Amino acid sequence: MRYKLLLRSSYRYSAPVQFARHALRLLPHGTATQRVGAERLRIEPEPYQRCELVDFFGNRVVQIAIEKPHSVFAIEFAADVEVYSGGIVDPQATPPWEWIRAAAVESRDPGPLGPAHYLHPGPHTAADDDLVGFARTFMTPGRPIIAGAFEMAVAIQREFDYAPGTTTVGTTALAAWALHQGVCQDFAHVMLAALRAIGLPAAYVSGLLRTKPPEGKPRLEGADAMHAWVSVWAGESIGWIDIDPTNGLLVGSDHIRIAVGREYSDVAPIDGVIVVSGDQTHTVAVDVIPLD
Amino acid sequence: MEDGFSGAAAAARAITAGYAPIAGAYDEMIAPDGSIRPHWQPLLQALGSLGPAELARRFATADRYLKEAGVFYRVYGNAGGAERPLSLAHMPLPIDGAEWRRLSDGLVERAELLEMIQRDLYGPRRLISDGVIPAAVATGSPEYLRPMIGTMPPDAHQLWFYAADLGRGPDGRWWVLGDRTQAPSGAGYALENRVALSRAFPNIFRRLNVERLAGFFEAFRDSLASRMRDGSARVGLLTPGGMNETYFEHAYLARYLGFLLVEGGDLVVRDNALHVRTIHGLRRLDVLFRRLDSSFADPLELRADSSIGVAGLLQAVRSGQLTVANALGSGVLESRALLGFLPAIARRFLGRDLAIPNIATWWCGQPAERDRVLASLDTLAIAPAFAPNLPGLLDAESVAGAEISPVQRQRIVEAIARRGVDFVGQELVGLSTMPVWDGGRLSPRPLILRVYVARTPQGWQVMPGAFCRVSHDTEPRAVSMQKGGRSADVWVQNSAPVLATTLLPRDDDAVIRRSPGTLPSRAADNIFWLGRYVERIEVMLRVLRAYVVRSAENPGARNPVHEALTQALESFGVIEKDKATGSPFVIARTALAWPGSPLSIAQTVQRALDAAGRIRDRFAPDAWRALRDLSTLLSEPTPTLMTEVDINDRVNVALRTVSSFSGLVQENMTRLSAWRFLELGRRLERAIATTRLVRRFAAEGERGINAAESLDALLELADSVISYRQRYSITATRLSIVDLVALDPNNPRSIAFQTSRLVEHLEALADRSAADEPGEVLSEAILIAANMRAMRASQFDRVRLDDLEGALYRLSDAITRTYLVDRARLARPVDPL
Repeated sequence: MRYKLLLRSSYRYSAPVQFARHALRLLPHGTATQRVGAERLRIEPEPYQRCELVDFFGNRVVQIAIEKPHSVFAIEFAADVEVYSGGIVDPQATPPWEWIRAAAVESRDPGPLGPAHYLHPGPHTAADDDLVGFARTFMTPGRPIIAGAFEMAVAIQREFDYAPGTTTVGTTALAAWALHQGVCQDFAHVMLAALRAIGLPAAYVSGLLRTKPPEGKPRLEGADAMHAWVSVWAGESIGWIDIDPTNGLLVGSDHIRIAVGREYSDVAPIDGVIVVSGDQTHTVAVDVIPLD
Repeated sequence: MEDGFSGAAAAARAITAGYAPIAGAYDEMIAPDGSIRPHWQPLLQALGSLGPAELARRFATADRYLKEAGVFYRVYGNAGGAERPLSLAHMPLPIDGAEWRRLSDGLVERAELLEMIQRDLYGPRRLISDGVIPAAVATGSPEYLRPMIGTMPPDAHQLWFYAADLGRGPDGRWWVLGDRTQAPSGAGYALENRVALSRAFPNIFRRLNVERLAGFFEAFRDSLASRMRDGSARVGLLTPGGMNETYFEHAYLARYLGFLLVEGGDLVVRDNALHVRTIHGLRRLDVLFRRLDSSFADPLELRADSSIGVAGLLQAVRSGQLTVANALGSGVLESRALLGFLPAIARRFLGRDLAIPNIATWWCGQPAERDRVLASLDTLAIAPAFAPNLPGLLDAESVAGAEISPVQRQRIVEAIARRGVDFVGQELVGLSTMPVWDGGRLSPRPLILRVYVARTPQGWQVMPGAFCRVSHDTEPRAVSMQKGGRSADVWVQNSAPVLATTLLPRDDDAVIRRSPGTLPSRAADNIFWLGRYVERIEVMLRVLRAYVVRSAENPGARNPVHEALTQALESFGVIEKDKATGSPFVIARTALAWPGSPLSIAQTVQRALDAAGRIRDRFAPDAWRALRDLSTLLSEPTPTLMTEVDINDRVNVALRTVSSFSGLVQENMTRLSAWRFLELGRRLERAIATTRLVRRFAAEGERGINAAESLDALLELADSVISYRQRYSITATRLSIVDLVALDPNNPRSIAFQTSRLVEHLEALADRSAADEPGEVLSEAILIAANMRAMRASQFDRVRLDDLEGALYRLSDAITRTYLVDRARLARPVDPL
């Protein structure tokens, strides 16, 4: 599946910002199932310093510094991306979750694909007894890891309300669990917290999702969204399997991966530090245009 | 008194009489056969020969030193920021020179091993890929910083300052209880303990050939200084700020080592290099000695919610333009999980076992180790593998398995089965005991030594002494300063006299180097406001005193001066507007209430203390104490039956304390930029206050004021009564008083005097040649001062007073803009999701 991605994001400040440093994690990276073609990133105002680096997890990070006073900070990003459907995994044919737990602890892989990095809860992915109980309802003895994880994602999709505005970037998995509502980021955090609480490695993935217009209606411009989901480790030979708890499905070629990390804070698309004395407002528009 | 060898043995016996070691523990002083260990003999003889009364007096001297030096330890989690004086266990712990050398060699070996582990975990990670440690042992640490992996310059040292916590088991062997590689605390307290004891026992200290500490710190300072590209630059000491529990120590070490105390807000990364914002613009910093946990160091790449870090710091390190000591991410070496693997790592890297092993530790991530821990829970301690605690499961750092309640035990066993990776089991260690001075006699208490190792140009060097923490109770386990323990000085005894062979300063408390250096803008801002607050407190107290005195002289009277004073109380914030009801004494008591209304005297004192607390490294301890005295005095409850005499007394004592603060600052503060900002603050505040007083009490057209009484009040408020009497013997006239209080350039209380001083200080700060044109701020100050010099008393009417006040406020803003901090806050962009 080939796509044209368009992302426009702008910040307006009520008082000019004197100094800003940003880390942008917006550029998709190439993977076994994803190829990135021509791309363009425009930033306004022109940063006085700009560098691109690849972080530990393999994500592309653009670091910029702006030193002139500015009332608008705008980013425009366009890229051609091709996504191949990975080999289909039969969830029932994956190893029992207890095996995965043991293998994760024994892992000798220190690299970004090694499960050990995704085994420990972070500041937003701590769990409590209740969440442990939730995890156990899917990870019954001998249950194949992906079968259990997929069922967990479906349960989250079914039981949680998708309710933008009820949570923030700082909302923890436990807080979202208590509310039983939130956005994709919260659902991903809840699933990560539940899996890690019983010793299973899982990663946070940020990306874009192609939204299909209703039958017979045209695609609305800018109506697509930034998205987040979970990648579950299924052992050395199978590797990582992406599961989307917001939509309760195994990830196919509608999802475009941008960055991966332990939780949201590793992959925050636009982060940074600004010196500001007033308020800020923000707009974002995303288009994922299928080219096939 | 300290001399005379005859009867020395008897003196030693006398002082240890009644001392009974705890059964089963190794006692540092008394051998199992009941004899005094040989290396204690000289100390006990010397102390014993002083006699009990003299000994108590000397110990009290040491206590007083620590109290007066303001050595405080902030208690965790206390929002009010309660501080506790460092409490001295009095008796030093002597350690035999030969034993110390063995200990030192072992710790140097350990420091080198930890350096190798750090280089591996942030480099090739062979320990993991070769199976020496499971990956999860590294990845479980919140201080294993992914952005630092694979970025290490090949020649960069990682550890510069390392500490080990040591305990001595019943068999007399020392064990490492834990490694401190992040930012070891306590060395500054050890220094202060040393100063306290060496002052209390100067002769004994010299005679016993106690090793000095200064050389160690000097070598460490040289070591960091060698990383600077420019010899005139300074090393920065990065602190999390005044709320941190060991902030006192940060300020103390910065002073002692001549480092620049900086917070994240002082620093900015530009062109991949670190800079400090100073009153003269950005200045480069090449080296940071950090007392901040790495994960908070850079909101751009590490914890984004950190407001105490520096955006871009990691990039500066990676580009090779900045050395951070210890290297960012070194906290990963502190994990208890790692302790269990150190024997295997030592064999791998060093080819031998460590000379000083750590206590046996089993990481429950591995099935065999987990089963072993679960099977022998009663004889082990259970601790979190990585975090300081595990909420709901383990609230303390370490708990003896046998002491866990059955319910909690069930929960912990379940958690270990579910996520063994989070736990370790550790052998229970019995600690050795040493004597502490307790109400005139010695009693045994368990101890832990924290020993420091620094990288120096000559290799690793061990501080010949230690921060010795002594437990509060006799239970020979777990010692924590947070639980009210005490600390002792450690005397490493050399067989040869120490003084003859050392190049060190004679006193251990000698400041090693003082360079004028640069003044960070944030420090200047705090100093400036400290000056303003202290001056404001003074004028508030004066107005209150004038009010109380006049109310007492004329009870019940509602004369115009009384009205004017009430309004002055309101306009200076001493009392809240329209809330002043009741008798003058009720009003005065309200004015002195603690904590009072937002602008009250009490709150202003609090703000002055806050400002002073943030710049402790630049501040004489005596001046700091004067401020604390002021807050102590004013925070005493005001009795309901307070008479005007009581109120007067309190106000007068408070005014004297303010004066003593000013005197101490004038006498003790070096005439550098910092002093100038304090002066700018004081002069500006005094000029503003006096302007307002002149307008209220002497401006033409103030109706209804009995001129003579009102002018008298002004003279008193402006502290110019004596000057006036010396000049004029007759009754006050309005013009002569306005001239004296506002315009006379020779009256140190006049507005004109203040504005001239403002020009002087700003001239000095501008650092320009006479040919240069004055900058914005200096230009404004010169105009104000010239205007005051040209002014005649008859012209100085309400309009001109208003103009002057406005100009002074503009000058304050200009000073802030030019030299001080940007009041804008740091924020994060909103999230695009």
